[in-house]
Amino acid sequence: MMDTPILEVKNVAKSYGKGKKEHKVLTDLSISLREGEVLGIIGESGCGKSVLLNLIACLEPLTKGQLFFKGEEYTGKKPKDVCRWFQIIFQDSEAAFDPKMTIRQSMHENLKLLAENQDDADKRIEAMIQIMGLAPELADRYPRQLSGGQVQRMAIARSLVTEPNLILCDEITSALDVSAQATILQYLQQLREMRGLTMIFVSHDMALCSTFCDRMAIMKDGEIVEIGTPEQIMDHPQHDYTKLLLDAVLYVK
Amino acid sequence: MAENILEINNLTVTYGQFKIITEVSFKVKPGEIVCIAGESGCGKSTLIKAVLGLKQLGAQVQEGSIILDGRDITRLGVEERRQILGTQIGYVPQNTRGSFNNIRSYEIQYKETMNCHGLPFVKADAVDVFKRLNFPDAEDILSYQPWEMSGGMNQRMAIGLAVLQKPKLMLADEATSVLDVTSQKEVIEELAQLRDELGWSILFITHNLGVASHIADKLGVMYAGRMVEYGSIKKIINNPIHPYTRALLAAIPGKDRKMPVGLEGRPPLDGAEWEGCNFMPRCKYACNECKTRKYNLVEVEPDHFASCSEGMGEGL
Amino acid sequence: MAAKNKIDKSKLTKKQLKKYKLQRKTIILAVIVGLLMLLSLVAPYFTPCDPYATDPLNLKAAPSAAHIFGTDYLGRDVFSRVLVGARTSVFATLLLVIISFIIGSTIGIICGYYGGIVDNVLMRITDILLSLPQLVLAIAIAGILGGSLVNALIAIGITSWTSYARLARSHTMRIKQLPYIDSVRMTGCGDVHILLKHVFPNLIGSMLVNATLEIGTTMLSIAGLSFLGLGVAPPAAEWGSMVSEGRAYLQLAPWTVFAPAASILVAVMLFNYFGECVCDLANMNEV
Repeated sequence: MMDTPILEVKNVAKSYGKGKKEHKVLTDLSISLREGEVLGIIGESGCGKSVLLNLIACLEPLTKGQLFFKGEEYTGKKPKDVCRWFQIIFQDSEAAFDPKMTIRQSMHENLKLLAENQDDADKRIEAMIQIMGLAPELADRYPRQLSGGQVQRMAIARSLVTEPNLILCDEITSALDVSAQATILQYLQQLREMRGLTMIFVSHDMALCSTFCDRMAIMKDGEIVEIGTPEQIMDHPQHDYTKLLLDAVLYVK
Repeated sequence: MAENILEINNLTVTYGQFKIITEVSFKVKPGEIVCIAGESGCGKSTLIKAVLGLKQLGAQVQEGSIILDGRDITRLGVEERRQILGTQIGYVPQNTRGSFNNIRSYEIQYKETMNCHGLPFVKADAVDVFKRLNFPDAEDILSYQPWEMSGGMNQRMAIGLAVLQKPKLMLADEATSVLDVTSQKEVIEELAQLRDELGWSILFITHNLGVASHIADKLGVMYAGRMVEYGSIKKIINNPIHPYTRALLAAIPGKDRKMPVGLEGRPPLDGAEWEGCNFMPRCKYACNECKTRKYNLVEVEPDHFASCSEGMGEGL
Repeated sequence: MAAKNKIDKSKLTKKQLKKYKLQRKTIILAVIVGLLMLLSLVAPYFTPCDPYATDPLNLKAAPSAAHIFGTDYLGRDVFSRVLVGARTSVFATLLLVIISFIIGSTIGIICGYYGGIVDNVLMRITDILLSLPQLVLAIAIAGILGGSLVNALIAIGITSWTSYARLARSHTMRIKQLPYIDSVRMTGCGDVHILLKHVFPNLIGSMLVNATLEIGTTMLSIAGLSFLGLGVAPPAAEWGSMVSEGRAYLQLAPWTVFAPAASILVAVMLFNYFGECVCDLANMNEV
């Protein structure tokens, strides 16, 4: 079964509004992902990369196209059917936690269906928080009481407690300082080595993706214009837009 | 014109009851871009607030002085302060959406701002500035409303407005960090162009040394309210001395596609008032001496100062 | 312990001091409002005279030691009637506010969260209700149903839930777009769980502020309907109807009007002031 991709997105389109007001966000987009692979999707704001993640996670209905998980079609299912497979991590992680709940309470919700009892859930949560390099006591704080980097690591821990097959990361580092961003990346890398995590990593930062992803896809106006390994994309870009983006990367001179 | 556009001498600033900036000194010469870098919480935004000096911002200068073009502006009254803001000090904020009223055209807002500062608004001048800065649609852009524009374009309009007032010094607080990479590059190039063509002086705040290395002439690295390294940007990038500067550099993804190295923890939020080195809890070269070491910025080579050189030669 | 809890005022910033003062004011007002409610609950058992007993020898008697607010045109003790009326006025108001709060916010949350046809239909109904003058509609409905306290409450309640529904709807529409709702959906929790555990707790604050501000207006509406004879049926005592009854003898026995009118004034002002403090405090906490 090694050949079946873990996720396949086939000819997916998404538009908002009807008739004259129709606004196309995605036009005929296809990607597939092997187990254990990290795919970077790079594009600027408004190119539809966040919408793509929402579609994969069934948070929004598709306009056209099909979705497959391990060869099985799951188009049109509800989030609660796919939450065992996928988890999303958002850019604004503080807003991704209910402000009226402690981090621990929020995490318990993820485990409601899976853990045998309260203690088991607590154990899993604390183990995961420790893997992300944070003290378990921090779980009893409210999201606003943690720093941006800490909340983001909590968000990653939260998405991993249920051990999903695929993690969807939506610009998870772009609101952070470079040092916090690098820390997060290191932990993700460590998790990849430990558990063979499969990920879609959406970002606008090519340099960042090139250090971390197995393949990179460049997205523009709802289409993927180029896809390849970091070597191909960074060293031999084909599409003009890729070259433009590459040119805008500000390396340390 | 004085020798320095901006002189910060031994500045100590408090915010509420916390000491956020401690004894910081540096100078901005005419035609120079000075970058202040550090993580959020290191005091760099407070520095901008202190220079702007508006009471509502909450930053209180306790000691030291801020000298703008030979004039001490540390403790100006409200009315005098209002006169120098805009005309002598320009400001480009981080928030690209909040700086303009979303539903009024740029023209009205430009006019209003100019008239507030007692300057005439000439449309041709504005169009001229836009053309020089390579804005698309330079002729018509004034009639647009901010909500029709992208965040990057809005930010460039904010720069355009600041340019029209011909300030002596421009302050940019994380002006590019929320923008897309291509708009970020445009804004950076614009600021560099202003320096090259008009001889502007810019104080630029960022957390990304990659951005800094592209436009700055001088770099100051701040940590917990102290300047830990200061000097010519080339010298610092090529030969970073302070462990914190090296950690910041290591966190930026490089061309070699190696994993960037992060820095655990966060700067102390209350400005850190303890004996010895503030960075010690996060520093991997920390030793016993650090507990009592006094802060001391020393010249390591001409035009390059650092307060610590622990762990040099061990690589990163 | 006391020394530990005491706040050193000199160390607070201006804003903290302001907040501290406001908190203290709100607590004091909450205690007063609580006392008022307690009083209106128990007062009818401690009336000096029987509020319904007529006394033909003492018609329209001026205030005296025996009858501190005087007597009305049937010789009934006004003070006792004000005390009995307090229960009707205050508790009918609170009951109505609570019921319209529950109905209104439930409808608002459902409309805001699901949108679509349900939302359209319910929101058009609120539009219609809001386009009619509230008191006139209440008079019409109370007129059709006949004069009784329950009917008066129904008549006012028919329109009063709409403000809660609108508020709850707009908050829900804002909240449902926040990433944490998506995060919760990705945990596999159902809509009911999301609405109860994640949407409702995050909007209840501003809803409560609105409710406390509405208490005063509701109290006035009930008094207004009673004044028009559409509220409680005589001889039951209610502040509005007492004003109405005494109105004919305003020149001969002004106390029969002043006593209940002053009660309405004080109660409404207390509730409004309390509502405003809660509102200020809520705004301050958000900043």
